[in-house]
Amino acid sequence: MNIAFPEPDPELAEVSAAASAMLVRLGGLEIARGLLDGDDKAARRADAMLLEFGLLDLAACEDPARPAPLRHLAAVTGALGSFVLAARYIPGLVCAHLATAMGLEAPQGWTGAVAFWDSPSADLAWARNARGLVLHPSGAKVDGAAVNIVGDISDSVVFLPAQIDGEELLIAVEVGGAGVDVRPRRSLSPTLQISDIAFQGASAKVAARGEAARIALHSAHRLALCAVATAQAHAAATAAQMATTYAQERFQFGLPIGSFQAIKHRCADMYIEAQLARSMADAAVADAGNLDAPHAAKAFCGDAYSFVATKAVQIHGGIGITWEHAAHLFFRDAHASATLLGGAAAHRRVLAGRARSAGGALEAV
Amino acid sequence: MPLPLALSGLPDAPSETAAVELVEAWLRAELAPEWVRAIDASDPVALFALREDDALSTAWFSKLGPTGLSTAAWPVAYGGLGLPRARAQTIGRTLAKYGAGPPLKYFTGLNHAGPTVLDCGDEVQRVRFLPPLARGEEIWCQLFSEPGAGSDLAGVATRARREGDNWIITGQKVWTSYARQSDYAILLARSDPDKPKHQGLTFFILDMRLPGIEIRPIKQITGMAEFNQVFLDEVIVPDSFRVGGVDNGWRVATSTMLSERAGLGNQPGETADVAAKLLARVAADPESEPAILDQAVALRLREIALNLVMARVAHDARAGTPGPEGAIGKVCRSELSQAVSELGVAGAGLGGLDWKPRDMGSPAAALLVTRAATVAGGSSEMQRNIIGERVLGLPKDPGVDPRTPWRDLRRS
Repeated sequence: MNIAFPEPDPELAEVSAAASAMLVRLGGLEIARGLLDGDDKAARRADAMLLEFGLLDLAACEDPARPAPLRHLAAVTGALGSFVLAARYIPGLVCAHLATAMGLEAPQGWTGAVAFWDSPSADLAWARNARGLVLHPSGAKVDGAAVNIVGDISDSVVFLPAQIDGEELLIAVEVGGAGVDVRPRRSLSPTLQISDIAFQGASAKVAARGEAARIALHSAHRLALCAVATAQAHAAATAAQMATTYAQERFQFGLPIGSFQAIKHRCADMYIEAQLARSMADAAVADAGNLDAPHAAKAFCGDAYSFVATKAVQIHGGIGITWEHAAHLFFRDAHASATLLGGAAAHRRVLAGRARSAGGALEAV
Repeated sequence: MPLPLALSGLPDAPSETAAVELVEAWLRAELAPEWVRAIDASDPVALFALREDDALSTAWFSKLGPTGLSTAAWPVAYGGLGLPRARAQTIGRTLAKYGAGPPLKYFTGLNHAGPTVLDCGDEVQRVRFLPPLARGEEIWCQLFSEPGAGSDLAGVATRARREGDNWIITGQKVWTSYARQSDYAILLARSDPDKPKHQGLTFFILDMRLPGIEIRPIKQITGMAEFNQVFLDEVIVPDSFRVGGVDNGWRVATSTMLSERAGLGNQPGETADVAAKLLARVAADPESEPAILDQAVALRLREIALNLVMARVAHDARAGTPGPEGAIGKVCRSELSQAVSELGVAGAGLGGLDWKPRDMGSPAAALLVTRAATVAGGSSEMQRNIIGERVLGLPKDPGVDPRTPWRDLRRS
């Protein structure tokens, strides 16, 4: 496991700043708060503006066999992360990437999903989703269930990775059709939409199979890992900054609480974790050929964000556990996003397996 | 002294790569053959043994020092090469790659005393002290810390009393490396106890062979005695050995600490990625507990992240915007080295417990030797204060009153 430092690209900071400025105009953290309170007006405006911004086009896959750096995409998902919005858009980006990787049209807008959000690696996705899924001999109908589908799948398509008779298939099912029963679930984080689907004779289509399916799914999974990790790193930095600012403004015993070492050192620790996470995510995004880096980033950034968001609630004290304050938006998002695509431990296990098969060779580790 | 012929192209080398090539070629020609073999074989144990051999490493520095390579950023008149900082750092990294940097006993002189005299000393002091220091003819130590002034360095109690053209120094210093071998020391002492603590300090060069100086080694938990206590009893120092103004010693000591921090990038003790080594060992053992392997991966991830942040800091510094993230390095590297050593023992079972004094290689020894990392050179707590106050802009600790005369402060 070796991950190189990428030369920073100043252009990306501008992309990120433009996206941030747009999100601020649209309401900033109030977009996510609206969703928590059952009001999606601001979120729908953001949906439209982000389409106009061209974010979805950044996810298009030109050649799945030759993975490209994801720096522009990451610059925007980082900004989304800072406003706790990444989980709303990443599933659609991933779906668009997979569809275009297979030579298909991307679904409309931010809808559509790939059913692999439980899986720490693309390889593991095949077996997991094969459970209970039965493809009719014609290949045109499917029975069974798919659980923990992340994203907005209403009237759209869901791509199901499945291993049937020893062959990897990506099965496309139109969600609006007959024999598809979608059960949306409410989740910890307002921007994260999770659903289960039951299929009974639902119309299906094999979108890709074998090598082509494996390459396309791998490319989409890598994008998902990099996008989530980047969003986590940026969200961690924002939450750390929010709590540090509060530590300067909140007075107790006649002094800003940030002057006390108990608080000051926590602020330093939050800053450190956010900085480390950011470097880890940047490196994964930039190095398309490194198979370890996305797992390393997801493992590290997920833990870092959870650490920061947890400390941020604590530093805010009483106000931090109120509904009105934004601290819990980060806290919810941190712990929810940490489990996307498998938790940190699952990714460390992937990396441990590779270290083991490298036989302890120093260079490989 | 002019550069050896093989290095004469160094000041005008067209690129960093060309500079590295020149230095590498010179090193390969001048280093002992077994030294080059140890480098080529990536054999850290052999290299460590070579560096530990005092006669060998002293002989090496008597060859390296006069070239000016280890003081490349200093002016030529004072034993340097007058090269830009970036070029000097490139040379430093190349020396480090060959384990051929200055031996540890010259570290304080080259990284603390030298830069301080260069920055704050007068011309007589620079001409007298810098060239022999650069050539490795004189060894220096540092007399800053005291039993009552560790993290709170500005609280030092060692007294400097003016008597005519001399100063009479009395007090007790601690954590001094190479005190016994040293020819000179840089010394921070209290010249006016009635002023607030930062304002009553004066900075001196001290001849370590003067009467009234007693040195006692401190045995550490590793069984080794790398540090000393130094007792100063009415030591007479001429005023010409004062560096900077009377009562202006804090400003001079700050210069020392800044050059210390700038020199951190090429610390002699800097080791390769410790977590990578641990992970390789744990992964290669089929008996390893899965939880230990998981933790070894986690530590390696942290090490990679830290290396990436440090690379970013170095990149920003080259681009002219030094990142405040640099403060992360000390706290993370030291704590990582401890965590790695702890996991190393936890994962090795009873087989990892073998230990004897002065042992350096075993897991048990690593557990002990890494304890110093979070204390020496600014404790982790002080590093977090630095990050909190200088990077994040949080207010100073309320316990610090900058106006109280030093005499009235409570001391342990």
